[in-house]
Amino acid sequence: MKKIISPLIVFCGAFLATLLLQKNSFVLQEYDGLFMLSPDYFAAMFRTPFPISGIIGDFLTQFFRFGVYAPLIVAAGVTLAFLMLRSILGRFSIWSDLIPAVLSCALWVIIAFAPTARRGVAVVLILFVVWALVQLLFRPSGARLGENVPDETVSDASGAKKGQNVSGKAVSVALGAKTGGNAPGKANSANLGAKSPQNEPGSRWLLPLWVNVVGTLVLVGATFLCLALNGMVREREQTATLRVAAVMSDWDRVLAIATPERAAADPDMMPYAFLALGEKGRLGSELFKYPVQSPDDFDFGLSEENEVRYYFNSILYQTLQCPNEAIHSDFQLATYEAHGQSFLVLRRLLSNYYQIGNYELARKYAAVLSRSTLHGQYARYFTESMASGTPREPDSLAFRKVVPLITRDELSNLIMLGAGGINAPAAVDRVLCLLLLQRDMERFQAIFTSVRDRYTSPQGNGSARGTSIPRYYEEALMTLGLTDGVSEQTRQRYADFQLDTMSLPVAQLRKLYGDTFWLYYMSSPDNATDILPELDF
Amino acid sequence: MKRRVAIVFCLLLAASCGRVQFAPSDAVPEIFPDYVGVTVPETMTDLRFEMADGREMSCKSERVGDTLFFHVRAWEKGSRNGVAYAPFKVYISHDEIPPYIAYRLIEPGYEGWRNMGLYSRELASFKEKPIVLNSATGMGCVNCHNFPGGDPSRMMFHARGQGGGTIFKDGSELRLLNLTTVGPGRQGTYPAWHPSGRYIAYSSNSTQQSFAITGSQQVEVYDHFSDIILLDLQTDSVTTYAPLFNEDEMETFPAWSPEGDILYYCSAPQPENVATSRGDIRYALKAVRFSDGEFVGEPWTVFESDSLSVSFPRVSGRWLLFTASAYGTFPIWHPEADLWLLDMSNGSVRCVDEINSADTESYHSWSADGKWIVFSSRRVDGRYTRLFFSHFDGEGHFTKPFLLPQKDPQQNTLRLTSYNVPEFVNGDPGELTKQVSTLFAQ
Repeated sequence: MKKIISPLIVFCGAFLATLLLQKNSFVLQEYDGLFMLSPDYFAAMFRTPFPISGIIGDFLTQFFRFGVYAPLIVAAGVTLAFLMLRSILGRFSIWSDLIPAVLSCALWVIIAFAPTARRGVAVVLILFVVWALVQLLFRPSGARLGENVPDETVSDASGAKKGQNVSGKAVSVALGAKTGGNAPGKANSANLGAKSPQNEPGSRWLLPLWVNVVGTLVLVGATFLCLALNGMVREREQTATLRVAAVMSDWDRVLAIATPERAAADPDMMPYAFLALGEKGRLGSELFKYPVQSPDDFDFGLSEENEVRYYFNSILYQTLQCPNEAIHSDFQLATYEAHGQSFLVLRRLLSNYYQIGNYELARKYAAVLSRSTLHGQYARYFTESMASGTPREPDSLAFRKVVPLITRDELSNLIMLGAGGINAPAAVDRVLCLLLLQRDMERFQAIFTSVRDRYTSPQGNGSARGTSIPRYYEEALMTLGLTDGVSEQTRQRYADFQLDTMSLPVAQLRKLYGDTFWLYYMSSPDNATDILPELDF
Repeated sequence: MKRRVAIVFCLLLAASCGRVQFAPSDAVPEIFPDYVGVTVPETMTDLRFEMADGREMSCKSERVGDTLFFHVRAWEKGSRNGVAYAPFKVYISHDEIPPYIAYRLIEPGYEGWRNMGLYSRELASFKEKPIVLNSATGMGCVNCHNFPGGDPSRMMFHARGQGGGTIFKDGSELRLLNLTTVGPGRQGTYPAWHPSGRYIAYSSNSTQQSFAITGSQQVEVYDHFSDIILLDLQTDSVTTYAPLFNEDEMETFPAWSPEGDILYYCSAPQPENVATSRGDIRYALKAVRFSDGEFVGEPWTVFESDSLSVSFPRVSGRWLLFTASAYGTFPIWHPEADLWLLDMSNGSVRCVDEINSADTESYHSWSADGKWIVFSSRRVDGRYTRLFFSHFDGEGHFTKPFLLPQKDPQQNTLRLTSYNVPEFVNGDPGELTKQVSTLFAQ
């Protein structure tokens, strides 16, 4: 019993740390991963270095999508490494839990920082090979394979059956259980007898049980703390949580993570926050509460050409009811994945093609996903839905010849979508806010006038978000000199702002009006980090 | 333990005593891939398929003369009984098919890619080998492979990206030539290797990919401009010919006549704004004479239509097979694109209904003797291009096409890449990835 205390500490430490500190980082690994029983997958894997660890890593990564599995797998891997290391050292009569604890904690750190499971699996596999070789080639006292071993020694040191030869025992030995005779607990009690490990030739050193346990506890605790305090781990988990929440359309969670304060440190959070605010109908009221400096902060549309952009755009255009562009982004996202494809992309392609009624392709992706281990039910859901659904007919030639083409500019795309009758509730807010960010007051006025009812009429047009004009639209209207429908509070504040710009220094203005459209509007678009140069009287 | 074994044995025995009944059917089975009634070469008779509706099946085949009879039995789902279908025939042609095909495998996505490669496939087996993977070229694009007359010892392909260019294989020698450094400084795109082996005509295209904001055709590709250039492999010089290299027209898709005295190509007037007028751009099939290493005379129009746009002309004897779409220059994204056949002896043109489908047919290639064609089609799922073969009788008729056989028919569904630019090759083109990698490293 005592011999399992240290491995238990390692297991619990790794499990809790992964669960509390890295859960979504591992979920994201599943999003980026791929495993499928197909000839192309295996052919591609066997063209890479260390294919076996890659395949096992991919297989295990599938389970990371479900909260508790990643912590379990990580903890199991680290504990397995611990047990193998203890067993290997035991063969050389090094009776301690501390060295295995140090090395397994090192493995744990490797797993925690690695972008995929591949590296961790490779280490465990190498350890396994070493362990197996040691079991085959060495006996506990250091004797080589084939040397005669006294039955008593074998029996005492390993618990193996009397009369069994070393190689036979090596094959039958179970991790921890039979090498456990070398473990501290056993060693401690062995102090009493002549057959204790320290009396065997080749014994190096021996520590009391409590030292091993406390030492392991300290090492595991230290590793836990290192991970908890490591900025990279925290940042990665925060980003992962944000991304996972966005994929799950958990907008409250997105907003809980992407707060204005955090967005100041990580501007890449802002597009997610604005997406969530749009979906919650709060974009027009909260846009400038974030440290937005330019239209570039609104999305990843123009300034980025990377995985981050396509990941976001895939979610963005899906919420804007533009599956074509979501699919475009999904395909682009796949090109950044190690396999050129990923579970997340395949799931999104399946759902998007299903949504647009392209059942041929949706069935293909369902078939592909069903070749993985955990997507059977997911694929079946869509397959059954399609069996009772009606696929969409292809468009006419006349339509295809003139259909608008997507641009890299979100505003143009939104306006085209609107013109095409695709009007997601959030799309109008995004158009208005983008126009505010571009300081394009003329177009803002024109579009706001046409959609004003959405905000002012209790009935609206079915997609009304409220009965008052959102704060920043009011501020924009004041800038335009339009006061109709603007609240008294905003009018008064604008009057104050005008007065204060004449008298207060920039720093004070920033403090008082940092969250207003007015200050943004009056700052130089060319020098976004140093706002209000022209107001520095 | 013994008792358990005995119980299991008894159960199995009892189960095997019940007779499995197959209701005979006059219908032939609906299978995937659809090999019912197709004509195959002697080397491609190992056809593997499954029931189109996914039912379990068993199959026996027997050969009678030049016909294969396939007897298929399929089990009803969840039942021990099933249906014994009427045998279906597969005809065997004695016309030899080249032993290999070469193609590119690429994700049928959008602007980007990750893994891409040129591959060869032995048609008598299921062996597929990479000729070159883009891992050798810094993950750049490898495309537009071409073999003169299907000769596996000579080959060219483009390897894009930094340090890239056009790679030529001649025997075991490999060299890289950046076409932009010679002649007019234009990159080559679609190649056509002259039958003499000395020249390659290239179109040089400025290509744009665009994405429809809505609708079922999600991608559109068009050229902003294009011209035709001629590379002399003896001197590594690139020359141009004014009628094929001008600002008034977009010339593309060169193809030589078997004798090498005529270059066929597609041409459309250069519009001011290609993006907005893309639906009205139609390419005509034109030709120009070639003699002693030079183009001579004025080009003439071979075929044009105000409702069709021509691409990929390929000549075999008196027959010219081309792809026709409603507009534009990139038919693979056009579901209406079909293969058409022009009889140059009398100028008659027809849509080859017997090989076309409701979905896209696009790139195609003749075998050297003109008895077989391989062509790409999206008929399986509308997106992932697959290769089909058809036998040609030399009198203008094709047989029902058959899908490139796979060891596991599921591979047609599971493969997440498209087959591009299928070309017949008369032997194993070998593997060049290491050599190309060294070339790029230099």
